[in-house]
Amino acid sequence: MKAFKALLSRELGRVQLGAGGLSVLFFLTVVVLLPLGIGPRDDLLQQIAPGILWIAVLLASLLGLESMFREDFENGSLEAMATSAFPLEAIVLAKCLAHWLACLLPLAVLSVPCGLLLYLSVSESIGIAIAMLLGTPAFSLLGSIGAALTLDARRGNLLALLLVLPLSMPPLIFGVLASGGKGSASGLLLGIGLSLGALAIAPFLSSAILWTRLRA
Amino acid sequence: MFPLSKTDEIKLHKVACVRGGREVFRNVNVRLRSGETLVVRGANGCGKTSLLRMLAGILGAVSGEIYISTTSCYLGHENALSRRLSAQANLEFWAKFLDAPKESLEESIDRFHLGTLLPSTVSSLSLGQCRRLALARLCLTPATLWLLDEPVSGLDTQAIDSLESLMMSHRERGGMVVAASHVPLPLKGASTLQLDASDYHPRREEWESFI
Repeated sequence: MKAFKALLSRELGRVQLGAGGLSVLFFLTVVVLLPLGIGPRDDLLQQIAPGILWIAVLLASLLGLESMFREDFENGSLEAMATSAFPLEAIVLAKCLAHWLACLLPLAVLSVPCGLLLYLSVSESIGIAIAMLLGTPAFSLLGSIGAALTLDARRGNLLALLLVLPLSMPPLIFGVLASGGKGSASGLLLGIGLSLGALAIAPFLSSAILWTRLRA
Repeated sequence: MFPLSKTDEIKLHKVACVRGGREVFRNVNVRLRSGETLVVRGANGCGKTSLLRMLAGILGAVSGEIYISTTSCYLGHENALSRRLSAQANLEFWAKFLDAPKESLEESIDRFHLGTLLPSTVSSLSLGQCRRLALARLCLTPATLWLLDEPVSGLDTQAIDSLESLMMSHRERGGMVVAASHVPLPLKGASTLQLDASDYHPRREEWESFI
């Protein structure tokens, strides 16, 4: 547990804070550009706002993926940590948690004021924020698989994007479903289910992939 | 320093290693008990690093048996330091990650004379300074088996002396050290394993059956 905390705080200080700032700026830019592109039509904006906010969050989550494993792999830290008594699965989990805390948690909070900007009501905006809090952990966890696979590839980030986006479709679909309107309760439950499912699978899959990289 | 178990041992029996389709070594036997040290010697490409990575549990052997009863601390070519963080932040991270007591952290700083380096970021340190910082991790690990790959590369004589005394005290409390190096190491009383790539010439039939 002490090792987990040490790794988490190092991750937050080392890379994810920069990536987190970037993802916040990206998210805000998308929300500001949207009404400019569509025009000030409040009924239309209101209708598409949940979907747009979710897509912006998904794309913003990809920004932090490259820094998840690459630097530690290149400077030998990953090797040193993996050969210590601490399991690699837990290392992956700590990195996913750091990515979520730095890149996705601020966006879930920001989606409340951004929802208001897009003519949503307060209760609708808070509904989106809650759906994001529970559904976005799946993005970090599934993203770790893409980050592990593209560890030593050139332009790995683009490749990771292509690998992760199809995997992220179910959390996106149920997240938007959970963000208000008919069927939001079942959408929320399915979103939580997907996050928990990703929690059960992704750390093991990512660490298995990382081991093949370390052995190469 | 942590108390260590005195009954640990490692055994390698007729171990062979294949890297990239090429057999690097075969029939390597190693037996090391608590308090013993081994220096692995040989030319470039003879499999020193592969052997250490096997002992660390990163690589598997294609044939033969490996038995290791203890945890290890692997110090590879890379220094396992984040270039963006300060020397102090790196060292404190490893101390917390390896759950080392506070005295160990102070000891590591004293032994490798790191006091003046602590505020600088790792990217501004020289090669030898980075290596000293990496070696300081040895004071923090609870592992019995130390696996050191070219530990003295880039070090000045003072740091080599520090490493020597550290390895000696590790040995006295029952630790094991396996070090790979192509230059002589200051390890008195260590046994030597000579890996020689030219020892083994595969015959044609063997290659064909292998492919």
